[in-house]
Amino acid sequence: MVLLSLGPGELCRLVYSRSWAAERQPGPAGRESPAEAELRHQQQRLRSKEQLAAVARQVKSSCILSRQAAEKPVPDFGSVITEELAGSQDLDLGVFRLPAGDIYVEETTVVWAAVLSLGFALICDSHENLMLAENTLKMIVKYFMQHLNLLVQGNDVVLKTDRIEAILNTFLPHGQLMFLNCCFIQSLEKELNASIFK
Amino acid sequence: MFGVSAENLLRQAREVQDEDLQKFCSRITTLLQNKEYNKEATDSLQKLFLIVSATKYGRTLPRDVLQKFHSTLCFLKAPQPVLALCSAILREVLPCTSLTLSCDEVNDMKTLSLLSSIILAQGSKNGDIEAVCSHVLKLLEARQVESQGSRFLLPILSKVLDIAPTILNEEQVNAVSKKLIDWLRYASTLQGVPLSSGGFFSPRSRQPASILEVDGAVAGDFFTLLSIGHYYTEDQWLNMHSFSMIRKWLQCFGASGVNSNDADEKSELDSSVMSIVSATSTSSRLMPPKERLREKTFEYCNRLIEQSDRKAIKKSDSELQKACLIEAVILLDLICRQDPSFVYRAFPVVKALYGRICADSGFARVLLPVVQFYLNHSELAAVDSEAIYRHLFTKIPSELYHDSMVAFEVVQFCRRNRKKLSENVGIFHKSFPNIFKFLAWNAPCLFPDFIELLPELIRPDTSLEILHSLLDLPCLTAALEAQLRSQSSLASEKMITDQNRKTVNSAEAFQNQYYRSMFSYILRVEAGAGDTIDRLNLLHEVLLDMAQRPRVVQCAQTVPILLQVFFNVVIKFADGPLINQLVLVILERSSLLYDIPDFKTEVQRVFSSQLLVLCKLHPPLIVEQSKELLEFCATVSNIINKETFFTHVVWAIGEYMSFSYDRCCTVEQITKFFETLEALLFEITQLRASAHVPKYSPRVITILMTTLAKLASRSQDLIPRVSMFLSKMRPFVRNAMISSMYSEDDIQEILTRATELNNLLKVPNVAQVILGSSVDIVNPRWYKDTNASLPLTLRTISKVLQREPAPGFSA
Repeated sequence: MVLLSLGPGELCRLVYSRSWAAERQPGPAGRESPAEAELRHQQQRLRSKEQLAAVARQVKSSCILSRQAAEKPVPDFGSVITEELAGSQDLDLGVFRLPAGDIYVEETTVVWAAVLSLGFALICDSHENLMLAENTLKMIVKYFMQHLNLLVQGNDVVLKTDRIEAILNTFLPHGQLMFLNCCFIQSLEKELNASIFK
Repeated sequence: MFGVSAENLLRQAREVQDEDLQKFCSRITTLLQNKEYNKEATDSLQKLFLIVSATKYGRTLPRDVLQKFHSTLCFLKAPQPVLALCSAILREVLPCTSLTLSCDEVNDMKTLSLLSSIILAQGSKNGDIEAVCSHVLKLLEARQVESQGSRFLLPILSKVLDIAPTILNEEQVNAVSKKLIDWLRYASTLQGVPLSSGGFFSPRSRQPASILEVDGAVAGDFFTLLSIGHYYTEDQWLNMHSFSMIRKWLQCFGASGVNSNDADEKSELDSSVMSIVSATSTSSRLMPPKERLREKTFEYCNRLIEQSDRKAIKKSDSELQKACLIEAVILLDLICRQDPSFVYRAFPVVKALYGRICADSGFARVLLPVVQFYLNHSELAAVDSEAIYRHLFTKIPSELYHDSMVAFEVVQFCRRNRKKLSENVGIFHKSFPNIFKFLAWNAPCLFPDFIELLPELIRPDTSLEILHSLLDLPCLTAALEAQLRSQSSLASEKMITDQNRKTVNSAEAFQNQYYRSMFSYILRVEAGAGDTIDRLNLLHEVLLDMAQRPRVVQCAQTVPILLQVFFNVVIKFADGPLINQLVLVILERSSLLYDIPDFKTEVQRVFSSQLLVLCKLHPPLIVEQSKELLEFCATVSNIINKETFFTHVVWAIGEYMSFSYDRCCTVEQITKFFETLEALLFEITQLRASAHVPKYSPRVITILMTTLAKLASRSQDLIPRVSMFLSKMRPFVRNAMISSMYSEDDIQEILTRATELNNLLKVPNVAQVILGSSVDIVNPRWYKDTNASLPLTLRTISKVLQREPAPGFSA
């Protein structure tokens, strides 16, 4: 799960990312000293960060190309968005495939959504239910907008990690996509509200 | 709005020095030690998370703060935000030597959830994952169904399956399978009662109500995730969670045999197994857990499919129904692959579903797993599936090309199954004009997939039509845009039959009867109606208003690469006649391309290189297509618009127009080419008094000279004419007007070449060797034989070329 800002120009800043399982690397052969283990972990972490950055860049370019093709007006990144306006924004949605070896070792599918200058992406295995992923992403973005006041000027979304985590832990526990009907969603919403405002 | 303030925060976070970080951490440790979970604590934790996550390299935190986080996580009364932040920070910072986590003694579900998410995210060794897994399984076994919390355990198990499915042994698999059966099939059908309803003193609430269906009716059968209740019991939650992970479970453990991870490969089975067909399910109590689970999953999917026929009250439930249908059919497919005896029971269900959804384009994405099912199993069930493939390939693309999710899924389906479709489904190849619509509309997203898909679509009998379609892909995009615009425009719906009225834009043209047939051709759904149309240039003209649209430009950018892919495939099977036809198409289309500037240049570049490839494959083509080539060369405008391509054509003529490549090459043909090219060179180098003299690149001139020399070396009567021409080059370039157009280097180049060729032609036999390299130049004879050896020839040539220019050539 990746949250990023599609800033003007070349800017593409990864705001937040969550991965539920590290990519399986071949384990160390034999026993390794603590220093070697530490080095391996650092490399793994670096690799993971770079992979996420690469996905973010690709999401940004997909989004821009898609908006260009649909001839949507380029959002004015500097303008002030009031709360009412924020609620009525349209969500751009798209999907692309990352072949095996491109960024990740295995083939993955990336579903993305974008509102003005913010993008969200869900990185799925190629076997996951794409429609469910799309619905889940839309639902999560809705909660993000609600609880994080994302588009309103001056908001420090980078600091509101606890809310982001709460939303993700409720609706994507351990990265599991769930088939939620309206009543399951309602129950989970109540749980979410309870945990945020405790 | 994400902006400067956030940028600053991130930058500050990255720049925090280690000592400041240490101080900050000790402050946090104190706060957590005193269990002061106030705003300051939350703010500090938020900032700390930012600091540890904002950098690419990891930050080390002191051991005591890490341990404090660990103990806070285990403290049940800590507020949720603090817990979430502690776990997030640990996730970023671990693994590290200062702290190892284990959840063996943890029994609280929420805590276990947080801890295990950290452990699983670390890329831990199998040992740690195994520990988490066995603890989770132990808790699942021990927990009573009525008590809260088990539902948080299933997602953990699901994640373990992603990382390391092999750590579960057979016994564990069977135990979990039994539980899954219970949860899937035997969950309660009564609505739960919220714990906080009333209290001890409130009157007993009414009897728990029954579960409802999505349309409000009372549920008739067992509980599934499409059952509505205002409050769910634990086992109902587990029902939903079980279904959410059942596909993964069956893929890992459902194949016949122990723990097979590639269960989705088609299993090889004897015919003896397939001949055992049971119309009803066997008594399930006698089956081992794996088979029972398969049976129950099958029943669950059936129920979901039936429940999805109801009209849901809430919109989100309708969306869910579609996702459920997709999952259910995929599961049926998986079950049938693992145990073919299910095919006879599953097929009627899937067929009935197809009947329900085929008319509704809103269910297009549900259609895909259905088609996949047919593709995998229709042979076994001896069911005719022509109609369903026809529906997929003719209806869906033309109606839903603009829906990016549908387009993506259809193209993925085609790509994954391309070999099978190519071998077994006749209509697949013929539908390429329709399939191209997906690419035309969604080029950037689908382009890499088409590179893989295209080779399977190409067949010898349709290759020319495919070539034309590829060249007209941007045109197709423009036509689709025009179609959309004209459908939504408020202009009158009457067909415009007045042919005299000048058509202003493409949307109007779409409604104009004069252009109808052209649009119908380009928007056709099936191949076979002809390689291209006669009045293609008119279509290009009328669509010109769309040529700058971003979508059209994006599509145009993909074409040159697809052309390369196309040619790479075609040359593998192309024979002489096909190659001839390809060259004709190249020649014709080089001047008949939709007018997007970069597009034309790039396509012509591909044409240039592919022409040479084709010539090399089948050298006689120059002679066989001499008529068309002569026509091409005779037109001066061909040079201006496509110089690179033209020079390649001329070079090819010079190279391959010889007896050694084609026995049919006659002196007359050589002479005809010579005369045409001579006239062309004459026209280019003629100095007219007009103000505007088009500038031809020096390369054109040198190539023409060289080709003329080559042709002359093969038919030596022509040598005097060439020599005379070449000697005219000097006055030509030294003329004031011309010398101002070309740089000094270019002028020298032209002159040097003219001199060299002239000198060469004075020794005709040598010239013949040099200028007419024959096919067997790679023959060792040329290097070993002292009389005919190449090194000797080269030495002679050098001497010849380095001679002083003859009289009459003085500078």
